[in-house]
Amino acid sequence: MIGFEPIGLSDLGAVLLVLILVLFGLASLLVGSLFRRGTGMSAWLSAVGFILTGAVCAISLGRGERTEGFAGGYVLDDLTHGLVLPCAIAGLLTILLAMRYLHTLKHGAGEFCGLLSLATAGMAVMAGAQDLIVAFFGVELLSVPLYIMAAYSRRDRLSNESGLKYLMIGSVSSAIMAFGIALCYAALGTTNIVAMAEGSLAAGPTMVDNAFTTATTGVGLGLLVVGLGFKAALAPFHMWAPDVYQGAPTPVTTFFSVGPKVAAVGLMYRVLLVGFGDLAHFWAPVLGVIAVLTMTVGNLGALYQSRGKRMLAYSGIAHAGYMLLAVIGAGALRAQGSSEWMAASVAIVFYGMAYAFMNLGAFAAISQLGEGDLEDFSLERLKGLGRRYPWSAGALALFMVSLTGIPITAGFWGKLTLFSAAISGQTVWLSVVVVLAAINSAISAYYYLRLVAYSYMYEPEDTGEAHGWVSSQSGGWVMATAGLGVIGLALFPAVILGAAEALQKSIMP
Amino acid sequence: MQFVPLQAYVVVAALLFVIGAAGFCLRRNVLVMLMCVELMLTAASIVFVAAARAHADVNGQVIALFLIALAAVEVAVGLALVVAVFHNRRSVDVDTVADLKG
Repeated sequence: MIGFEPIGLSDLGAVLLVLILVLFGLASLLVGSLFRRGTGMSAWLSAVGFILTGAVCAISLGRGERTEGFAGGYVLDDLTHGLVLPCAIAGLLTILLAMRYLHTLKHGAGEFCGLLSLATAGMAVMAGAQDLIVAFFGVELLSVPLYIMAAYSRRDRLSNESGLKYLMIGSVSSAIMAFGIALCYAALGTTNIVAMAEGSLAAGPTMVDNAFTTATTGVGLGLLVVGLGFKAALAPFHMWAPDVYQGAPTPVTTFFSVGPKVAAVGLMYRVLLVGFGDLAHFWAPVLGVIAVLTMTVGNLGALYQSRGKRMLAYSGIAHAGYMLLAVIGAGALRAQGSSEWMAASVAIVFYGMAYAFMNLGAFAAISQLGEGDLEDFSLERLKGLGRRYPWSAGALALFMVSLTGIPITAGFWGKLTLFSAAISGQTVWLSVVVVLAAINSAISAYYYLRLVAYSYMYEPEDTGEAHGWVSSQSGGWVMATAGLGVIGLALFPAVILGAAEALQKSIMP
Repeated sequence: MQFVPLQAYVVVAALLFVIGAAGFCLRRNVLVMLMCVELMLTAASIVFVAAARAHADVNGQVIALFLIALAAVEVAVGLALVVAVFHNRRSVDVDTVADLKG
């Protein structure tokens, strides 16, 4: 841990993904702000960065290689690849989706794509963090560009408010996380999670001989989870999400709803299992309660929304709850002393991929409901879509069915792997959690399929084109790509699930 | 020579953290709320520096420097946002910045 060797090539190899994203992000930021007409250029630069990152991830996923760098602070293993892949896809499709929005901006259109790349670099840092401080740094690198992007329309009241709310909640959750990490460091003498697990924590439940260490570790771990819970919008720390999602420009909301959630849940998995695995019998039940709360709050909230962005915000909360199931199942296994817990990692990766495609597609569809990207759109506008735009309606139906998790779609395979990861814990309370999750899925069918019903079962209202669907070319591309992704994952789930063994093998040193 | 034990530092830092958190929840002015966040981050820095001394480990001190830089970054973005909000609404009170209802 206390290595003072100079940075070598192997260190740089370990942070390859972060390097690509940061370099292309900075180049895009420079080009975008230096040249007056640099928006297209900077978008291309960012896009190339995302494509390169995605390609590296896709090629490496399933090889089971593991490269550590910076004295064990960062690791490039299959879980990192699997978590960065959906984030890079989300970034790429967000750029496409944002083109219409960027053309309406008078100032600062060039910097948008650079900020997007930097935020994704933050996710890449989180995905591979093996040191709590590296994780904290990743969270900050993710959050600060997103504060700016939420408030990107400076003259717009709602966008401003959204950015300010996100900033206040985000900075306080960062502070909570920092204090939690500080307490863990005070108790255990290191911030490296592998060293923690091998050091004082290895004593596990018998660590109670020192009341100070026990109390400090417990409180520190709790604060850490609360801080990450804010970032991933888990209940009861979710109240900011609907407001921020509604006020932010639609492309930004799209990115919010996918990247940070996947990265935060992945980070939770790594930190809790690798670092605090010996305390699993404490945190697994607590996370179980949080997951059930998150799903229920998200789904019940979404039931009552009549506007697209708010509804998808609540649905995103629910999906973070589903993803948490894998962490809980793995925790329960770990608490029983089984080493099978690593099997759950593939569930997070698969669901991350499936969720990225279906949610991006859903947002692309919703954003076609109006001419601008700032206001929120009433879902009533979907009425009669099936008659007027059969392709768009078909894509929307596909995304909604997949988000519900109806067989055989990408969402179904995703939920199946998550539920089976949770069931594998083999305790009664876990079965209850999974049953509640299944009930929640059934509830969610109502509000997802309502949109399908709107688009197929109602006659188009004769209010003219202006009130209905305003299709944009870039939105169509996003829907097509996401649709292909959803169908591809549905037909060939083995593409990701086949990497399960490699994923398990490379998590632990 | 008498040493102040690590526990004492942690208690002081915890008090500072709670004061910051309470201020964040109770005050309505965005600027004061940002200051409260700074207090909470400072609490973390104190624990890091004290623990670095207790464990004879340099990392904690480096992390404290990190935290100071990160706090500056957050405040830079935060103040820019506050200025933008003030331009639009002529107020930086969180109760008046509430068009979005959660």
